[in-house]
Amino acid sequence: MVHKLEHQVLPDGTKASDVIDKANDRAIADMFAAEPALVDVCPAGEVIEGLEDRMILHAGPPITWDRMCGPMRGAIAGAVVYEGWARDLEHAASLAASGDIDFQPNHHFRAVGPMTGLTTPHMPVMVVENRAHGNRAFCTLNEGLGKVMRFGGNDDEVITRLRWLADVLGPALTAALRSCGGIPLKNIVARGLTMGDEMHQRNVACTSLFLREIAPPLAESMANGRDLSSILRFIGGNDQFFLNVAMVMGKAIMDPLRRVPRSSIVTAMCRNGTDFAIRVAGTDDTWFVAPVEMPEGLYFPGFTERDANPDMGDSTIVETMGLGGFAMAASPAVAGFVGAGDAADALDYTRSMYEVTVAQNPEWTIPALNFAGVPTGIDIRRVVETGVAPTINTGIAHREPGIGQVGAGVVRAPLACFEQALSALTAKLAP
Amino acid sequence: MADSLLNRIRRGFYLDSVALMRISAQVASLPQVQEAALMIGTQANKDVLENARL
Repeated sequence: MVHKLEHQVLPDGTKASDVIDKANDRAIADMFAAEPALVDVCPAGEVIEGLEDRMILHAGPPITWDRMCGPMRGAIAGAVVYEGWARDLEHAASLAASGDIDFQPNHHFRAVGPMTGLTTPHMPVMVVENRAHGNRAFCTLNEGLGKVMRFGGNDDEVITRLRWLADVLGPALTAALRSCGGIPLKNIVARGLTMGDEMHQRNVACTSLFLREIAPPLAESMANGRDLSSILRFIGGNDQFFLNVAMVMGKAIMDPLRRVPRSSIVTAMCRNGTDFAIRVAGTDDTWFVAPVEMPEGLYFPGFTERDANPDMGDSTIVETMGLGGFAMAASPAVAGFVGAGDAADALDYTRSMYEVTVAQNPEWTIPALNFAGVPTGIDIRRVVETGVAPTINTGIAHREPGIGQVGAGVVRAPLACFEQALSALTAKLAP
Repeated sequence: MADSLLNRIRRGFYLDSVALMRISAQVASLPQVQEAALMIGTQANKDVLENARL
């Protein structure tokens, strides 16, 4: 599809495509210059500006209670009980439906969250600082696998675990991170890519590397050996612990690109289980929204695609910076979720993402592709031109609240978001 | 014919989780098989098996 911008000449005689390419160069340079480091863990209400009492941050673009999917509502009921705003799940749901809770996207508060992605004032959040640009980003700690709040779980076990994160894990990480001066993150990702991780569905290598970094400061700053062992066991036993770290790193890397005039680079992709939305550097904080799609994947015993909730979470910030589905060549096994599932398919997924991106990341390379850098900088023009939608690796939640994860698979970003964004960018450049 | 449940444990044997899910799906689609699961025996996976009454 040939679009207007390809041949557009601007009033000052310059070619629109040249102007956009130059803006994109600047955006990519900002991305590659990022120096994200995990520096702290704090209660969300203390460190996220604007996060008030009776406010819940969620994944994806803005959404009202009546349009929310099952797991999102289930998670919210659990979060309301966790915060003590209602005494049980039934009263929590009534409160949520009444309009007394303010629902806001994580992205509007410099935060991200996986799946339902709920962030509330008394949840501990990781703080990543992008030392190159000075901005900060926030994300909750990964709860673990199975029946957890991010997949819509909300029973006593879920809430008890959240309290442990706030009372034990959070403060321990705070002390450890402050004493060691923070942990730089890009090199952990670089190593993980050579070890089978793609940082969305596969994080076991990066979790292990991270544990090696944090264990000594944890041990040095903790007097209670029992708590130390439970923390090491928790992080060490959670293959997906690093997912949340990768996500908050991604938010910290991409936020400085949110206002690069005339750039067609995607700065965020996110979903709330109902809507999929993207932001583009040259159109600031405007969301371009379309219905989410259904993942194609494999399910745990007892579940089928009939049980699946549509696509959800802010974790597509990982694909936005060239990882996850874009780096599938680093994790060939993940291709097993779709169709014939040959390992070679994983290389093809990454190769197709080069069609819709403008650069290769020199720091994050994939051995199986002869150390090519991951496809970086999603260009909305190329997505619309080629009709190739970004590939996303994701978990799948049960469509009913209170159940949890039922599988994992691959999903695409809706082309409609990119078409809308291109129209808006075109109109802005040549009104 | 009555339903029956068969469990087999292989110790110290590792296979990629996605490969296990694919094999599970193939076994589960065999005639007269209602449900099948191959999983690494972590606590989280044991909970999944229990929820599926396997």
